[in-house]
Amino acid sequence: MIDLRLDNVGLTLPSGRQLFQIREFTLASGSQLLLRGASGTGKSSLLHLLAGLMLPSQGSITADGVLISDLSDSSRARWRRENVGLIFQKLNLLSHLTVSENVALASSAAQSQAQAIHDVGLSELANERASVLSGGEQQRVAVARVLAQPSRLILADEPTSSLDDGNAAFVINALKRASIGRTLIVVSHDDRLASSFSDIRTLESL
Amino acid sequence: MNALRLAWLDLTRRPLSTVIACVSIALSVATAGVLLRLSHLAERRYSTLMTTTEALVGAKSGDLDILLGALNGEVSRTDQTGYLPMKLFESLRAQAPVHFEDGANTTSTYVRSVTPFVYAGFFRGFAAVGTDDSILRRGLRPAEGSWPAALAEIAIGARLASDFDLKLGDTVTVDPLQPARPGEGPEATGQGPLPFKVSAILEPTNTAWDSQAWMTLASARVLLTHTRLKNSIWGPDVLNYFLIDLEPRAFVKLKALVNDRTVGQAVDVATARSKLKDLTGTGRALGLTIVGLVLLMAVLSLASVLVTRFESLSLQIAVLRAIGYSRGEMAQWLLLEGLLLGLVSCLVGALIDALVFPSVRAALAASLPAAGPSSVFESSLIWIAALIASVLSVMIPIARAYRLDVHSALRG
Repeated sequence: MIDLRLDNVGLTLPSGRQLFQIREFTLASGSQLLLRGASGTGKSSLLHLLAGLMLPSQGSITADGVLISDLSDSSRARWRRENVGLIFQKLNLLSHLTVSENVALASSAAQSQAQAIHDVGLSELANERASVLSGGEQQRVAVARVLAQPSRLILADEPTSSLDDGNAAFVINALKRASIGRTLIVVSHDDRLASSFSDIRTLESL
Repeated sequence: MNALRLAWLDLTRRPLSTVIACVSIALSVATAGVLLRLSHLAERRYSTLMTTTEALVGAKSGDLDILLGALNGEVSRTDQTGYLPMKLFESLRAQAPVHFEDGANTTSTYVRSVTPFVYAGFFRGFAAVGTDDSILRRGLRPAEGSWPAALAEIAIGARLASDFDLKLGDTVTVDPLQPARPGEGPEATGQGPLPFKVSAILEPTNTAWDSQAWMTLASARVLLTHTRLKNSIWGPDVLNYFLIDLEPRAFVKLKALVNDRTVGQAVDVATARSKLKDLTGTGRALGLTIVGLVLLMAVLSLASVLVTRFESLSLQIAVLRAIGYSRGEMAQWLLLEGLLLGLVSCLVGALIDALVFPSVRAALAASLPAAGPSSVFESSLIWIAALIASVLSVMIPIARAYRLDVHSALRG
């Protein structure tokens, strides 16, 4: 689990438009947050800020007392690998690698790879290339990758938006199971997720 | 997953792209390698020339042919047409008056020394020469044993001895130049190789003569009786060349005698060497320029292939960065992939080089030394250049990976 704290965090686009400004926001470890909002308000960008993939134009982000923007690029990469599991709406996988190889990108422990693939119900497809999987199967692989990681913070960006109801339910349940003992932030405008979260906010309310 | 495995999977899981890149680089490496080896061979015609004689006499054929035939071991396995009569050699050596049918007489007192030289056969593809011990004054010297004195004794050049691990007392077999067909050859005694005992291993001279075997004229005559000399009016009593040292300014007299009145042609070695040097120098410069251009093309083609290949990897890089791979790990992966591709391509290129070179050499036989090895490792400079190029080519994608905006890439 990981404690997150954002102080006066703002993100300004190269065009000069300020995307968002968050005065003060804290998220206790173990929280499960659904962040909603219209497209283009900066939800995905906030996730990327939290993952250290980009730095805020102003303000500071602290994770368990570690000031993310103070870390070097390689330290941020190491911090991300050790602490953060990321799931995107699409483009999660390397299409030429198999399911197990994609999971192995995040974890070198063979046992946790196999367990994670089993947990998302893809054991039989473990040696199939990602390119031949359906959208739902690909999202399950992305979840399996997070499960195999020792991450304490899971960040999911529109994980169900392109999935049918069945796959969406499977993915969100898998995510909820994966987030036991971890902090989970899901960014989505998919109404199907609302019933799964007690803490639902908009970017503007942060 | 470590960088090496990532590179390996990336190469093997995109086989078409990898094979096209590999073949493109390999062909460039092979072409540059073959050209470089040809250039080395052409240069070797000058650099391996024996230099311890002032003049040569050979059958009329052109001064460079005579020079290269006598002093660079360039003898055809199948076409021996250039013979001189032994009697002319004996007259020159004895400085005896030579009488011509038109009544003219001439003497050769300006000849200080003359050495006979006749190609008699081949030992494992290398020329075996008949001569006498006057050749010992022309740079050959036994390192072990003694110069052949009897029939069926042979002296082995330093390089041959080393390459074939020959020692004194060993028995070697020599094939006649062009074996007689049944019924041919006035003194034919049979066909097939003849055995010789190694009586001397020669000191190295760092010339083409190190790759020849040497025997007495009597032994050579025995071998020549096995050859197709039916059409020679002199039978086996022939020589290919006379190696001559002259009194000062006597070459003109020798030339007048030999060129005007015999089937032979006198060659001033210094003049012919200078001509050969000019030719090989020009050829080498041209050859190296072409090698340089082909190499440049290879490098550019490699760079183009790798840059194009890695251009398509920006999304892959973004996903890996999001998972937690550092820029350094990305650079390691790209470098290893470029290096693996370069290594495999160089191996394939070297294989093509090794397979194609003998045919190219055979096709260009007239302008290259007939004997002498040319190792595929002479192309190693090209391989190193290709490997360096493959590493350098990856620098552009690495620089792009460093500058990649992961956030934008992931948002498509």
